[in-house]
Amino acid sequence: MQTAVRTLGLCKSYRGKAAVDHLDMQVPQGEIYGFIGANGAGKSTTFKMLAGLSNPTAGQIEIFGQPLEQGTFGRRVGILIEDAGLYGSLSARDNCLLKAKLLGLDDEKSAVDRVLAQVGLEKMGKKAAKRFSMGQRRRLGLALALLGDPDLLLLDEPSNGLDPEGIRDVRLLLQQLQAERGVTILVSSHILGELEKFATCYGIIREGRMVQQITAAELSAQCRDYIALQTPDPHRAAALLEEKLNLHDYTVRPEGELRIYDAADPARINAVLLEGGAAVRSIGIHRQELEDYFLQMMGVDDHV
Amino acid sequence: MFEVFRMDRYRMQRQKYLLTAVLLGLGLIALGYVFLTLLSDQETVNAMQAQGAEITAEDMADATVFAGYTLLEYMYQMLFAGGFWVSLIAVFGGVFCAEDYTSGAVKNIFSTLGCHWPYVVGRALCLLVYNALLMATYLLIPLALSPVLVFGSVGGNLMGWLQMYLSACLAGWAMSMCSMFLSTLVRREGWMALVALCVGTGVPALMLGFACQLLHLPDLTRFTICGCGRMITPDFQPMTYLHIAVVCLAWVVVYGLLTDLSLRKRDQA
Repeated sequence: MQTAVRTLGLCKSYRGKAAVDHLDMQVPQGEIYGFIGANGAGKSTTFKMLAGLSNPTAGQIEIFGQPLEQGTFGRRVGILIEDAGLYGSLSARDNCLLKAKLLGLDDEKSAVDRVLAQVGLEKMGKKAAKRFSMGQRRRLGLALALLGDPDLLLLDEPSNGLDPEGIRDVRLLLQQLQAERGVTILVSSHILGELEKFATCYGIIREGRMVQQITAAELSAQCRDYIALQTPDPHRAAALLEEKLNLHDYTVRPEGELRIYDAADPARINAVLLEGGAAVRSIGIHRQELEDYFLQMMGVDDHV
Repeated sequence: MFEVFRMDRYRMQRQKYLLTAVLLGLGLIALGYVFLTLLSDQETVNAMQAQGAEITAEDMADATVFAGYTLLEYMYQMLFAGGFWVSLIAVFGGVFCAEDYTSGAVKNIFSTLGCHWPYVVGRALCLLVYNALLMATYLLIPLALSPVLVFGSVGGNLMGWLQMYLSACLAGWAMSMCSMFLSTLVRREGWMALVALCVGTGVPALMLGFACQLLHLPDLTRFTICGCGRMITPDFQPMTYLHIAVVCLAWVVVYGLLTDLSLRKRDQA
């Protein structure tokens, strides 16, 4: 499969502190790549470097097989990074017309009408962008990214500020673009449950480094069963299980739940904990959600 | 390059940058005209004083001088003698360029362009057209109204007017390019307006003049943009015009290169 975006040893430092640290990323062409990481993990910095807005400290970026520095693919890439980048005193249509002129589109007015209709802003009239709600600004940012029918979309939190209907609309639109035109979409989102619904592959970034790249099918296969244990002192319970049952693959959730991924008998666990004087409020077998997997990979869980 | 020019031209039109600068400039020119016209009529002066208006001897002296002006001399005094237009152009150019950063639109611009020079050249072209149109409006509207104005004659000759126009365009363009460069450093509209006002009113040129005096160097201020602005005369002087043209074009190139360098070195978002 051809690669739309490839980074090799990509680094970015601010005042000596690494924001992106030797990031190796491969985004297959025609896929929806969910880029996942906690706040400050380096997602936006990576997006900025891919869009040519920020100079990498080290490393290489290739877009459609060409080094980024050659800069010949700008019109094939649509971006929405952080805020939408709108001229506040201008209307949605004028903001789009400016981008259309920059792109040198032949039929700029019909192209603008089309993207505004795609994001549901065709009836905004002359209302200045500075008076738009956050969701409307996001939609307009998406419209700007879609202008010129790009082959690659770099979307940083496109659903930020959208209502549930807007989130669904964006998802359907992106799925449609991928299915009909084979557009490659690199998208980050904090709404992991939403991302699960349409991403076809994922990259998980933690502290500027790529932790894992995985397809949706592989991810689904990796989601494991676990034993969920509610106890007043999960850390003590975990220590007991390590000592008595040699269980090491577990996490302690922020809400105090102990999750044991090692194959073990819940009845045996219960007995060991009771013997050790650790009260058990509840115990049961669960299926790991994709969101839990991401959180675990992103290092959000507090592993003892 | 031309895409950036078309985009900038459209934004200037929609955000009324040209219209605002034209109205502001013409408004000040008209205000000065009305004030001096009133003062040149003794009966009006008496009536104003009777109403409690304070009119100083200096005002009266200005009015006396004004009575002998041609239109060319009046326009020269209003626009160029005080350097008002350079300040105006510096501020408008600076705010126009800095808005790319405050709005975040640079992200859309540079991700589309892929490299920096089309931005620098396209915007430079747009700023040249802006200056040319602005100055043409400032000079042509009073010229068109000259039959109904109180001036004895238009004054000067075609070459004099043309020199004034072209010199102002070039100096204004160089100042706009300076503002464009500074906007890549300052990146905030409010601060940019303040910095541009300082530069436009000639503070750096003034400091250079002091430095030259202190160090016993020849006066270098005539090689600054503001210095060139002050060298504009209502009379046709080919050597002066040549000096202004060469110096201002040199500054245009220098600020264009500096802008490109700044864009290369600094992250755009």
